[in-house]
Amino acid sequence: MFAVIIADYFFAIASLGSVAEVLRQFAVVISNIALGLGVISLLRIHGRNVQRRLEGRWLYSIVTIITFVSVFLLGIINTNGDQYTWAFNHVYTTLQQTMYASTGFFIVSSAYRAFRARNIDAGLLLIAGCIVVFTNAPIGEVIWSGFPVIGDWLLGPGQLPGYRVLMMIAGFGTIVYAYRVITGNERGFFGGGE
Amino acid sequence: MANPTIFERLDKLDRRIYYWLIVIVITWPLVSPIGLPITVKPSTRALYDGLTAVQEGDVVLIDIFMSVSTWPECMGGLVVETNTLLDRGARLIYVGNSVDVSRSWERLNELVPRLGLLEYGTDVVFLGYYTGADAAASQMAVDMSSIFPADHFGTPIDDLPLMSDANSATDYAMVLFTAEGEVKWIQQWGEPYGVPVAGMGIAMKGSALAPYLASGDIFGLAVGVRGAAELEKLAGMPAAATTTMDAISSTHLLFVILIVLANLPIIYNKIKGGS
Repeated sequence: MFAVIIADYFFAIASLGSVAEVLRQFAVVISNIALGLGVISLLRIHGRNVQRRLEGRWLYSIVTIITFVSVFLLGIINTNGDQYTWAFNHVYTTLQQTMYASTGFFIVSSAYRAFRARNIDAGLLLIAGCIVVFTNAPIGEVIWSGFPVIGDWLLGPGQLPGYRVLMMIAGFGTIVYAYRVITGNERGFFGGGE
Repeated sequence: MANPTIFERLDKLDRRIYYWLIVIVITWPLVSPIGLPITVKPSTRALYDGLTAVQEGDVVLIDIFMSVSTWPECMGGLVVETNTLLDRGARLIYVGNSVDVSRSWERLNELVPRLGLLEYGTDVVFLGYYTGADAAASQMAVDMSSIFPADHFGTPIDDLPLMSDANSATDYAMVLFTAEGEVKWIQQWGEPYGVPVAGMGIAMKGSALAPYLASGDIFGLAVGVRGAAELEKLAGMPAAATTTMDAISSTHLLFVILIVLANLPIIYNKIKGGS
């Protein structure tokens, strides 16, 4: 299967096209099934927390299970129904936005406590970070017109070589990992041991 | 016990102080805007130029890979993209790899009311959520109907006239990604079929997207709220992102001031010769 997909992508062999198409559809179906597996896993973990009355967790697990079952049932009855839409618009949306907004406070808090130039390397990193911050905010340019110039250099030529190397290493690593999975040398993927 | 010095106080500053400062510096510019000038980055201009180069009748695929939490960063840009493409007479197909894509679609319709005035199925289609990442994008490139047998509302794809003109990658003039998910479009549509790819990233993605921009894999890019504000400026339609930029400036300034303050005790100790 691996060879078919590779050959189809790089060499566009017409006779392989239909086989590759079926395989890609398999992948999409499997990823849909993975959603279902995720649900089962979620219910198992939280069900176990409740069953064992795990301190500090089991009440939250009850909330998770009740919320899941309620929204799931509403969705099963009618995905476009008023109740389901209400839950989506007035519970999920507000919670998501609140959670994301609150990260701003955590970032500032962690920045104050952790961003300390204890050595020269950390100091350089901090200075570069502050310049990039001023590059992204219009006030940086108002304070000093050089901020965006240096910041754009840092975001461009300054970081591109390193980032490209990182991407290439990740690409090669993925190929090696896939090869190990295919040849049965990598079993952790299946939840097993070695 | 001797009174703590200013540096010792700074070292152990109560977090509630900077939490309140954050609230103030966000709220103040929103209530009373300063209107700092926004310069347009070349990558944002390239994105806008690409949008305005679209011809009447061209089909554009827009992947809404943002959850509702990312609206403040990317919705403004998506609104400008949609309006600009509609001005050009493009036909738009929306898909989404985020589970709450239907909510984003509803919000987009609220912000771009003219979307609702178009003939659904002919000028615009919302196909909805998909899973499968690269495999799905790759399959969409050869047969859209195999991933989306029906649109989000359950209408069979064969009943949507626009989809008969847009069943494979070569039928599309452009793919636009929103927030994330750019790699699959570059690898599965851009490289093999030559479909131009561009879009918007959340601010955190700016540096991760830079290599694709430099290599020409994406022709344009707007990053974060600033990117959205730049698009609003280029399109001459200032909205939420433009208003937010002053708050971005004030919070970023506070952020740097706090970092400097946090480092004063260390500098002081180093000067004193301590650890």
